Amino acid sequence: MPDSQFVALLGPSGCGKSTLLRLVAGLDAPDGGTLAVAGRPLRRHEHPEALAFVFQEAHLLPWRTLIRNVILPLELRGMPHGERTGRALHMLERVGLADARDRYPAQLSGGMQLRGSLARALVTEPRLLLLDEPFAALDEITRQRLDALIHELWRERQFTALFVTHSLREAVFLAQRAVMFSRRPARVVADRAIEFSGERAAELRGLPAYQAVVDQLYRDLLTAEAGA
Amino acid sequence: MTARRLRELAARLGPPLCAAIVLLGLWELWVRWTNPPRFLFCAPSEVVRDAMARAGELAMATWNTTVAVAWGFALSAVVGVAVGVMLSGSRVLERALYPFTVILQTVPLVAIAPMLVIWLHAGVQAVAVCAFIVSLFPVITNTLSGIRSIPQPQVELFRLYGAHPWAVLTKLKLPGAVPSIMAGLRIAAGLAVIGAVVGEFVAGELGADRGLGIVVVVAAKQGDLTVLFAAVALASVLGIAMVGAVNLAAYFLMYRWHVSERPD
Repeated sequence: MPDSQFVALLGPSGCGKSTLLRLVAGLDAPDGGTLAVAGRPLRRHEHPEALAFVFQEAHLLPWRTLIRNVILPLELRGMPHGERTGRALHMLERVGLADARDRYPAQLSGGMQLRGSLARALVTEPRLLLLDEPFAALDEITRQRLDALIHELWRERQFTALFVTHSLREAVFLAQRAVMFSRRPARVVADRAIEFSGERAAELRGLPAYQAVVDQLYRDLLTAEAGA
Repeated sequence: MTARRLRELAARLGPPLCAAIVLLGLWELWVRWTNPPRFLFCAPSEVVRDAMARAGELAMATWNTTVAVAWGFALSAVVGVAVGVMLSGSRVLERALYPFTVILQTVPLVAIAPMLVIWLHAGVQAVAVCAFIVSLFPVITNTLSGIRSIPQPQVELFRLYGAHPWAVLTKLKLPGAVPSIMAGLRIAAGLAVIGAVVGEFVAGELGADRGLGIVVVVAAKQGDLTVLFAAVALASVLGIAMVGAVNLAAYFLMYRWHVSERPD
């Protein structure tokens, strides 16, 4: 997988997409085989340095204010106090939550909490971002807004992204490449490049070209479901 | 304090105070009507009258018991949280030691109190240890379950950023377990009072250091029903004060972020 690529991982429930992410993050150990991150095989229980993970739910620490949640990764890595506050605040501005910096997670909406967890993931400027169905629990409008935000951040920072999702539309909107897995034992049934000219904006979702790719992926999904 | 705060306070304290006044009133009326022999039953007014007559002695006894309760409770808070943290760190350790902590819960205090007298001599130290033993278990078990209930992704977040075990403890485990630890301390606060009073039955001192437990024993021997009631009432007030103190601490630690302490 080349640098700075945005890859969507698709497939039926339970085919091991999330497990793949957890293996890359070093949170689970593989039964066999090897995994290479940044051209180097990953040892058991090693967590790649420049990596960040966005979980299915925001999982902000409820006893910390929003800004202190965003500071946490920098704090754990030992960044000096003055520097980390500035970085966290900048990141919060970037996701549009600067005004809510001193609120506690319980005082934030679900969408705001997820934006907060995105800020927490990106504050360390990771080269590799893993997203495990981050927006599954959100309503469609909020979800589309967050997709647009992720796309913007990705264009700006050019990190590599592995994005697990169940939404084909979301995958086509965000990814440059979609990989479809079959049922267990999982194999790759399709690996497609997704190319649109120009910047991706909300209008993209209305274009026939966009619909065509979604349809193609849907046929792939049927194949994957059939287990062929 | 604003007028709104005062109203909230009145709304909180009003109902239990009214209930207490009504119950005490009914008790008083019943004693006056039926006039039972005074070695069997007495009226609240008589309890107050006799307690006033011996106010100095009862105040001293309450103070002595309070000291033992405070020591025992503080000890079980510190040791209980420490043991809970330790057991949470390793499944093997938990399996090895947790069954023995249950002994704390089941062994009768009056049976160990004589041993404590042998080792520590009668007095405040033995009584404090009684309060400690009785109140330890809920702190351990609540700390343990609080730490175990921290969501896995939060633990993984700390792992991903290579957090030092000390950072995991102080920035994740302890704050995450605070609601549970406070629930354990709330139970422990009441138990510490029971532990101290019962401990005093066996391990208390008779002299100037005597506590409410000794007052109870002496009054029971002398058939002094009013003083008996007074001592029990004072022990209850002490228990309520202890639990109140824990509630206050819980409020200040959690009102900003936890549902259980959010204002209505």
